[in-house]
Amino acid sequence: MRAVCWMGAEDVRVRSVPEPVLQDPRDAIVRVTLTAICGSDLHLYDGCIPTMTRGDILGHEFMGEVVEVGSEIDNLRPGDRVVVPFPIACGHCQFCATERWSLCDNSNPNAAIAEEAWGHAPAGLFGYSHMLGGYDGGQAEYVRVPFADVGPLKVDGELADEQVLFLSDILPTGWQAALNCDIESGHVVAVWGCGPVGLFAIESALLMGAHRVVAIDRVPERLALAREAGALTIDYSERNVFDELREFTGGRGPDGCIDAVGMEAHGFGLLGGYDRVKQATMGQTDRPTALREAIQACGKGGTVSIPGVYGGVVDKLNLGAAFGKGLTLRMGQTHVHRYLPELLDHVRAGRFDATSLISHRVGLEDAPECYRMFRDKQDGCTKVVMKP
Amino acid sequence: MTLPPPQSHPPLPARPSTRRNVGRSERVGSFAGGSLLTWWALRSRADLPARLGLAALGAGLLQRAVSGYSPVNRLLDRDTAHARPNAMEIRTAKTVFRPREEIYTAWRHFERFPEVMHHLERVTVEGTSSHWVARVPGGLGTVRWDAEIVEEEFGKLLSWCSLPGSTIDNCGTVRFEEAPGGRGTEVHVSIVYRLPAGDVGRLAQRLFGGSFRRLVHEDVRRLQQAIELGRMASRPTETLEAKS
Repeated sequence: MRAVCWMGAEDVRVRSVPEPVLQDPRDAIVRVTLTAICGSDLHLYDGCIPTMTRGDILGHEFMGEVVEVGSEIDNLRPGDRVVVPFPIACGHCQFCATERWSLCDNSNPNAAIAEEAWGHAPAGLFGYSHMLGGYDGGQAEYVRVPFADVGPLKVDGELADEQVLFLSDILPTGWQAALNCDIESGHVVAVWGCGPVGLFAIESALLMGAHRVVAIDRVPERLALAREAGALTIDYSERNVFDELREFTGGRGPDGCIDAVGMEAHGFGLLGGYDRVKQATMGQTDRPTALREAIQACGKGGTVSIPGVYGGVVDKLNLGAAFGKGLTLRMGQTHVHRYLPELLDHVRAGRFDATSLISHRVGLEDAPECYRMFRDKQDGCTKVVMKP
Repeated sequence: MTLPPPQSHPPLPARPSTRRNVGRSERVGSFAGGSLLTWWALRSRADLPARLGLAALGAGLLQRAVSGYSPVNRLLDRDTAHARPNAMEIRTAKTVFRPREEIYTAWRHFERFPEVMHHLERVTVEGTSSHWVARVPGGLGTVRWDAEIVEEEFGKLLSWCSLPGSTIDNCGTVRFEEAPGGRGTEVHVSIVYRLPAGDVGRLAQRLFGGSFRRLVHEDVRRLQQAIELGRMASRPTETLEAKS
């Protein structure tokens, strides 16, 4: 079969690889009908995530048709149409039992590597480094789905692939980012990064009753999408974000600040240059420009919610500001499974418009080109979906 | 937390009674090195002073080997003849989301360990005694040992010690405690390995301590997965080697 493989930093190729086979009685094999490139895949593309090896199959946003199930799977049958959550969860450990699926104890066979770096190991993910399980991803014709009795969500034929695909990651991720802000009526929420997760965070925050949402980016088409989603926007290449936010909130600062950018923020000026040098010389792994700004701008007693991916050590993070203002910091991979039934209802009711952010509809063979285009934000690229 | 002693060995006098300060393994090493140097000195085509120097060094080492006494060791206040065995303790803990009794029962069935611990080839159990066969990494054969349960309290505690004549000299204790907040059972593992005395043992600890620690830690994780899932979780699809 054909699959999108990571062959090194900035080197993604479509290769012919063996088809996956059932390895465990709780596996299912899914024929992928639609898959997407995630903003977090760009961290892999840029070589920022350790423990990737040549030939790893990429992709953690995918859906498709079940073609084969293991002997212990009784909730799925060949022919079922499913969306698969990007974190893999066993359904039996203390974390799964408390619906913290992305922290599953048993789905990461390479937990020891993650423990070395982080002390404890989170769940395994599809196509996202060996440290996080070494599982083959879904940017391929077929994919093996472990613990298939726990993860996949069955969807009926009424909804198109494009309407439900994003339930695999970015919609629940934007949703959890807003949820983590504990939004109350009257709250102002600021969102850094108007990529797909940021856009879903904007819509989620408004659904949850935020008074206003302010979105921050510099790419014109992304700012336009944010305005369509109902946010006010700040172009950070033209305006001072901190001053604008303070002004807009009557001096209080936003109640919730969402960093939907993560470890490869585009910093400017002296500090931005410093970050690039430090990252290049391995003095730090991540460039936390958006996070720094969010902490600085966030109002007293507010919450900084971090759906953007961070991998390691950051520098010059003003923890004193967070402490002094009594901020709450919340972060982590999304517990996708927890939100699926509710979000599927929202999608059915048309409360989320999943399709308008798709800018490119291509085949697998266009992956190498699209990774570069998405990373460089060229050609109005906001979201790429691929039909294998 | 108190642990069982590595294994009781006779108390040693504070001061050595003989004029010996070179341990057995060092004496063997010195004998081999001394012989080799002397042989070189005799066979070498080098000039005379160099050969004499080699011969003197070789003779010194041979003397050290035969007498078991080394002035150098004395100068350094170093005594490897009367060193106590080194002990290496490995501890690890995991919280398993199951009741104590269930985990205890799973643990007590040593004979099933090889299903999840890939370095074990076979474990046979007879009452409180067990026979273990483990693979040496790199396909270098197997090591075997016999163990005896020395303390057992259903659902709470399990202690064992290897029996005399074992290649892997070890004692261990597993305690099972209810985790607070209904989060299952805390499994606390402590294993003490007895290593050769002196520098040889310390070197072994330095070389292999880390990998033993990881091995024990991974073994406990595998047991957790096997117990929580009713069997072993998925194996890594690929190791960290390029698929090329």
